[in-house]
Amino acid sequence: MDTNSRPAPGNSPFDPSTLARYGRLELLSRLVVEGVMSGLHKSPFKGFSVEFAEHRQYGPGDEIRHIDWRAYGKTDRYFVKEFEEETNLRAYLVVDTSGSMGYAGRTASKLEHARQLAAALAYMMIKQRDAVGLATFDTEVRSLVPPRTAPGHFSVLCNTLERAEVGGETPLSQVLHKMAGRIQRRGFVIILSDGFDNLENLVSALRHLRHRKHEVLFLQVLAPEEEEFPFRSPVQFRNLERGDDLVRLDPAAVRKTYLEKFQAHCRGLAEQLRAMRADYHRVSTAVPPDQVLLNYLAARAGGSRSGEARV
Amino acid sequence: MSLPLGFSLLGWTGGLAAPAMLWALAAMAIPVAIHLLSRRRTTVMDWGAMQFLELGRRAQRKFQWSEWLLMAGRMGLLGLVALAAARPLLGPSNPGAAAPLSAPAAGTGMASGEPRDLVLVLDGSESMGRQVGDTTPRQRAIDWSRSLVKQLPEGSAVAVLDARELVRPLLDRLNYDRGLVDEALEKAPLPRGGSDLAAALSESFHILEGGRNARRDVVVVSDGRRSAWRPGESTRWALLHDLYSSAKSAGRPVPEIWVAMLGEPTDAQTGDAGLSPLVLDRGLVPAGLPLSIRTSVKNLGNADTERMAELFVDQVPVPGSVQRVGPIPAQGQVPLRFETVLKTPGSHRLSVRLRSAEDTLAANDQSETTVEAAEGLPVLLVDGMPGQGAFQGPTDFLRAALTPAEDAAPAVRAKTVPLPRLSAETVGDARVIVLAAATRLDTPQREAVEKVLAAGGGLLIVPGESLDPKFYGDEELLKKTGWLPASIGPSKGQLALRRGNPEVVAHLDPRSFSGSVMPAFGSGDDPPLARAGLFWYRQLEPVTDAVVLARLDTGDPWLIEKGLGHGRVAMLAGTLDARGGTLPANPDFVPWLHTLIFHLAEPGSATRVFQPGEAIRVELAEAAASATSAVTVRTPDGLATAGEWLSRGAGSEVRFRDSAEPGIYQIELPATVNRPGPVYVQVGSDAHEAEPGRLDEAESARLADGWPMHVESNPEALAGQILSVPGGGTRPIWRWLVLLALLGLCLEVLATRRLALSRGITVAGDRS
Repeated sequence: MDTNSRPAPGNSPFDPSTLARYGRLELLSRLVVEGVMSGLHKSPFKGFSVEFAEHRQYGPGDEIRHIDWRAYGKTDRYFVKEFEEETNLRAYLVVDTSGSMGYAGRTASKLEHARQLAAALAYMMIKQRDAVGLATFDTEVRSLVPPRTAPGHFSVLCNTLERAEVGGETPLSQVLHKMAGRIQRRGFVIILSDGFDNLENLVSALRHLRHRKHEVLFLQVLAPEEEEFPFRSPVQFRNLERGDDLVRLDPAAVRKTYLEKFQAHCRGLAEQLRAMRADYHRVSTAVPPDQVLLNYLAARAGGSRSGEARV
Repeated sequence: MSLPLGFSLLGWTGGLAAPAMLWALAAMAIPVAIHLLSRRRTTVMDWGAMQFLELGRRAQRKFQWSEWLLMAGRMGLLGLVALAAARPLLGPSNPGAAAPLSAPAAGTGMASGEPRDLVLVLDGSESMGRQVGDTTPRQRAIDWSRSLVKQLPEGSAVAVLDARELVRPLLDRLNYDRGLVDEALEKAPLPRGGSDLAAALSESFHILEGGRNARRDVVVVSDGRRSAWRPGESTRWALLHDLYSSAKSAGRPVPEIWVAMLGEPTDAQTGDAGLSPLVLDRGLVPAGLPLSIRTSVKNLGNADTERMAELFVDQVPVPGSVQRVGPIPAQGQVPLRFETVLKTPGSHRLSVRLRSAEDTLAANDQSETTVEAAEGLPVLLVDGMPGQGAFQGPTDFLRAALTPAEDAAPAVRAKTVPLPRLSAETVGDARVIVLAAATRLDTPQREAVEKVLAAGGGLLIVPGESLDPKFYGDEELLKKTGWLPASIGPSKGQLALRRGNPEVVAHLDPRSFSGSVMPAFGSGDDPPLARAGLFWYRQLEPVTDAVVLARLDTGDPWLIEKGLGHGRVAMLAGTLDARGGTLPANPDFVPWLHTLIFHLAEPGSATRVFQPGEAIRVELAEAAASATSAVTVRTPDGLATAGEWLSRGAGSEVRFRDSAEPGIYQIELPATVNRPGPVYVQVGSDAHEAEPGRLDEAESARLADGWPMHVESNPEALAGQILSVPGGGTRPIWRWLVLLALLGLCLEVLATRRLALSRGITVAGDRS
């Protein structure tokens, strides 16, 4: 695919949010990723296997050191050598489908956002020949697709993601513990969740993953309403995970308390992840997935392991 | 004084002065309603981050408690305001012991104690102007009232009423300014006419309804004349009692009623002559003909008295009219009669005055009335059977008597038409129609006659021998149109023929003369009319609402009258010509006929006496200057005020509303109007005032029975009683409640602000 012809991120004629409505996650994630990649000067993921595969014309983003000068000498044109990459990266995308992920305020739901983000990450990694697996869960681990590198695997992942629906109450920590037990080989676990769980239990589960030598990336997907709590008039809040749990509140009365507690939880989660050298990023559903990806990749290329900075 | 909705607890009594205002307690529901409405507006939201609301729930419960407390506070605030509006009263159960009020001596200044609302009622009847020594009861009443008002505790409010035939407010609202009360008392007008103290009491109750003090009093200062108290009008007093009782049962505070009866010296031997109202034969008289005025002089004093009486026409003394009246014995009465001639047509004011310097009551030394004099009164004589020669027809003598040929300016302009020519056109402006021997009328003729009656004119029916019994006996005519005063029966006797020797079948019976026309001709030992003999007459059967004014010595009616709207219809049994009797030759025939014709011509409202307070409406033949203009109306007090002068067809109408003062009102038309003088209108003086005598003890007791009315003939003692009665000892506490409500309002504002701050309003502000 000619990446030069791709427009800059955000200027895509195919608005990812428009496409999302059609459920074409595969196409969407391609657009997102291609858009992101075309904006980078340097490929973020470096393969290290060097079995030559073919030549292809040099393009922006390709490293100069990969130019085949011999071919240049012969043809007077720039070619880069492509290699059959070998990878030992096994990534696991863990998408939280619990009830709380179904919250949609003025933006798309958190699950939808997580889904798009997961698909984009999967596409990007498969494209650089990393093995990507997928786990969705609510009260239980709903589905677990083992990591593969085959290009057709991406479609499988997309189908699974598209089928994922929000379910009931989730002890995220429990699910992560189970995941830690199931994944035998060391891998890269990307968690897309709102992280609304008991902080202690969650940190314990994440620690379990880290203990099993897994790399962990926690993308905390949050709606702007959850971060700002902007409600004024009296509201009856209905628990998305337990429909019978209703509470009538005057938002003005509880706003201060809520925000303090919410910030403390997020801050605690970020600090704990940083402490265990895991990667943490907060994702707002108000920010488009391509922007999130771009920000994340830029941060990763810059060496940032973890941060509370929003992506 | 018992309090409405009262209670007594632990040595304290309380109640509400305006319990109706407790309805305002319903306003306490407003905060609840707002709360419920805001609950209904709550939206349901699906929410994921429930774990962070857990603390919020507890905070919310705390806030809810605060809100409920605040709501309760707001309800309490509104309740306090409502309660204050109901004007609660509170005081010790034994006020005599707790807060004794001593009776202050007169002139010792303001009393301490409970403030009160007090209505002063001054008897304004003319007897209050009686000169007793160097003062009058009225002056004593004013002095005493001023002294009482001075001694009232601070915070007391006073209204002042002048009880006349129509109650006049001197201060129509309860006033806290003593200076104003003093000024109103000082400027109280002189007493005149009658008084209606029952009406004044009713007005007092009405004024006190707007009072604010718990203690309420009505103080009546009167000379105790029966005419002012009207003890005989038991229905009115019963109504007043009902008003009082209903106010009491409705929970409103009711007043004590204090009556100061200013006594009269009984030992002084003085005569007091008073004139009765003037009586005229009729209100419309012919100009230039003698007019009789009757009245009587009563001696209301306790010694014989003698007076000189004089007649005035339009305020000008009539020369030679002075008469000596008396001596009149104590409590006696002497009739008085004047005769005069009104030379000019138009409205006239007749006054009879007693001349004496020693009379103690000047107000009843004059009696007045009004009269209208007419010149050239148009009368239409309808001849049903014209005679062959001179004085052969039924109307010939009538015409000669009413309009003598030699009189250049006759009082009556009589015109004769034969029956077939009777029509609306020939009727013209006639004020009286005489139907003489008219057999029957066709419909247009009947309508023409009815039009005259509707305009306040008169009709005289003189029967003939050839009446159409179908017309005069027609049931429909008798009942539907209703202007026939009698049905006509068979005739008696024979009409005199040219050469016959007629036989008299009946004479007039003077003893049966009644009404306003006939009695003047029936007085004396041998009245001329009694000698008039009838050769022939018809037997009449009066209808139910007709009045027989004169009968024959046979017992049959001779003259029957019936009122019809503003008009009058009279019917004779015999003829007024020489064939039917000797009446045309009788010496009283001409004056009697004039009197009868003028009586019939007098419209019902022309000389009516208006009631005090009634809107005066006078119809005038003269055209108004414009559709609506003003005329000057001079009141009995001599004040010039404005009346409305409205155009009414060819004529006009004067309207004047402020007729509270009894007496003669003078309407002065502009000089451009061709009228010889002003128009006089009489507003009735109270006939009761002519009744002598004071309330006796039994009558006073009867009036005071059933409600807290205290009658005292010693005013000084009464003042002490009024000021010393503790009146339950309760005091209004509404001011404290209002203060409390204001304090509560400040607290509410503070609490609301604090609650808003604690809800993180500033956090919301940061976000924006």
